[in-house]
Amino acid sequence: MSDQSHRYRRLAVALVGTLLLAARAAAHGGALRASAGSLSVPTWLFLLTGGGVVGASFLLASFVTDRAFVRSIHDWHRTAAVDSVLNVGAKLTRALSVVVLAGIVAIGLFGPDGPDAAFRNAAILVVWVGWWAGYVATVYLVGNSWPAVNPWRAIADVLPSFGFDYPEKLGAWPSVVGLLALVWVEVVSPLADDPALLALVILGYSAFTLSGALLFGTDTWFETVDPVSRVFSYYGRVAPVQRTEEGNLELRLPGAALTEPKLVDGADEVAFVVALLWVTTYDGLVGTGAWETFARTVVGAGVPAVLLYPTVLLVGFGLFWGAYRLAARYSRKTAETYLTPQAIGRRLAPSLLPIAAGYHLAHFLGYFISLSPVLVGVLQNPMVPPINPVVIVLPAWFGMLAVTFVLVGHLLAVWVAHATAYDVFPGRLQAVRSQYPFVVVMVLYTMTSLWIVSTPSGSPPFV
Amino acid sequence: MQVQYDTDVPADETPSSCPYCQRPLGSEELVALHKGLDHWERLDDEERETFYDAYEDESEDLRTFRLKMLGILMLVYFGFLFTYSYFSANPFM
Repeated sequence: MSDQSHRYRRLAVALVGTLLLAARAAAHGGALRASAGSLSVPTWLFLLTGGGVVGASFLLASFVTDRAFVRSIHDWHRTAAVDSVLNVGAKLTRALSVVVLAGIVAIGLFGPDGPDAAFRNAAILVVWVGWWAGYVATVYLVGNSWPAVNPWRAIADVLPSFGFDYPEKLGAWPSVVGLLALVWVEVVSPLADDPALLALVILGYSAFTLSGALLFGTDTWFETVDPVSRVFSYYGRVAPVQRTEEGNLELRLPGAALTEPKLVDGADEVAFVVALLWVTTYDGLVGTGAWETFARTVVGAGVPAVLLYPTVLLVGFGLFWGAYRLAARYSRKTAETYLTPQAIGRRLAPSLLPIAAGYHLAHFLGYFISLSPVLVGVLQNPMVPPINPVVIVLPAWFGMLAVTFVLVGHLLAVWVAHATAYDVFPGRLQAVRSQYPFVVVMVLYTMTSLWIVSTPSGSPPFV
Repeated sequence: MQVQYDTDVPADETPSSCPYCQRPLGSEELVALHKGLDHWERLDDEERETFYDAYEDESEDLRTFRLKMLGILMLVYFGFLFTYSYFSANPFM
């Protein structure tokens, strides 16, 4: 490392700091949902600033042109030889999680019900607050513990298997369909209000998952088809703690594991990563006031309400996937390479995962914090929960945190893409140029995400 | 670590390619760089020398490129600064 590159790096840090501060000042009062504060600057300028931060971070990343430095960041790791401990631990957590799953279903079916079930029924609180908001965050912030926790896998392991051959052609496509289907069910049915329905959906998913594992074998099913396990395995790649081939734990820098060449292998897996990003966006989109207006207008014009949600889900996924493929096609031109667009797309797809993770955190951290005392209270006595649960009221500046998470996810994505491009292309200038189309797409996506987290919320109509 | 990439060469082009893994690359410089990065152990001294030269040349180009990037950064920064000064309320009014 020369003095010059040190100087560049200091300059880079100073500039990013300035830009982030500017973005945070802009987000003043742009709280996440509910507390609809007013921005002190026009919305378009706030969105443009977010896009500007991502664009500028790409410009700064292009200053880091020392191959050895990039590689050293991604190769840094510490290994802990704990495979035997892990195997014993996994047996315990699996047994425990089967008990928890049975408890959730039982309380969902026979526990407290009524208009305030969302705050009094342990099944709803454990699934949405504990599992979907809290546990998922640990997967991308710490490491993927799902294989050791997955109750369906624990049950499937003791069941026999018919060992049918899984049709290789299908690849990850069934999991893409499964993910879209799960999110559709989650959006259009009152799963967060009706505990009995939630329990039935869990039972349905269990029956489907277990029969799949029964037919094709546990490993095939959970590593290829099951959408939930696949979401966790991808989210887990963002995390600093990774599982090595030998079964030990390895500590790396967050996102460092995302540059590995074989992480996303094939168009089907690219589609899954894009779908993951899209469903996170979709979930936020249908909760905005703008969506409410749009949906009412469209249904008022004679479109059947029942078609509206699945159509937008599929069209949006098509748009996202198309945009990504288009970026890969242009990347071949800007980088002047002979690699196929598909090959470029496969290598750069993992860089989208930090964005999905940052967006999830922005979306659910506040929800998790404000409802966690309710969760604890309900767990103390699931059948007779407290009448007036305590809810933590978030301070006004919490909205800024959400905006920061969205931006940090994007900054990590820009860096991962930069490091990956250095790995793929022999020319350093060529690597930077390969990023142009992707950066354009990322900037547009940042602006969309920021608009969703800062726009006043509504309630999804016709569901 | 060796990764094989799918490549696709248009019919009317005959690019230079790597003698070790046949990966087609746009120019002799890129071939020299690629060999140095991916097949270092298999190169003789002369080829390694070629790699160093290509890497040096590239660093020259990068310097110019970085200056351009810095220029764009300044534009973005001041663009935002002036836009904000125009659109934010002045607390002293």
